[in-house]
Amino acid sequence: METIALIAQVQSSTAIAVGLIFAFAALGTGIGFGLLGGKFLEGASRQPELAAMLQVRMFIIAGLLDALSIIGVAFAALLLFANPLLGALG
Amino acid sequence: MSEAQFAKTVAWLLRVQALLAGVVAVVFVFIGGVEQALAALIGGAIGVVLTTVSALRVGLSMGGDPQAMVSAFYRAMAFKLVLAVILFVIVAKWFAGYFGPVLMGYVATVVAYWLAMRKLAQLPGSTTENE
Repeated sequence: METIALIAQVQSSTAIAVGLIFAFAALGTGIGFGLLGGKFLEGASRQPELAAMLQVRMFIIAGLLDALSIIGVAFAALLLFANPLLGALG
Repeated sequence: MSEAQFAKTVAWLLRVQALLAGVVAVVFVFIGGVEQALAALIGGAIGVVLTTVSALRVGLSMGGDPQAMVSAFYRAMAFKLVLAVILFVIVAKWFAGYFGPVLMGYVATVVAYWLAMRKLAQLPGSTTENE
């Protein structure tokens, strides 16, 4: 009975953790991409000839920006589909 | 800098990502054996696939007006995130015991973006000097 309660506790904590991971990943990436796109449009409207160059830089920075959220998603996938914390319970 | 420069940068980025994933895989051969090395290679392959797909989608929109470029860019990034979720769910099911090496392989490909940024910063005319 106690084991079932522990498993339920781990699963509920995992669900909250996964929700927090998705929420903060979405928040951070959303703010970052919003700023990135806004600055790109600002720069491209000031100097349209630099738009292609700015897009290359935007692509590189976007790769760094969403890397952390993708790592968060990877952890969330691990917690959802092969939770190592449940394995520790035996 | 034009479409050719974008293609050149992406090709360099993919080469470095593959190289870094290979290096991490070799390290894991010595640390934990062939299974962990394979897991690290798969993590690296995920990074390379995500970069390739998003670069193709962004690259196809180049040369248009800035608004179209930004909307194509956002679509590409959304697609990249969805693809990352699918790939990592598959990997979490198959390589649950080797998730550390998978993640290390992916993180190694992220390092390539930092190197690419450094490379771009060193190009002549990369800073605005007319302010």
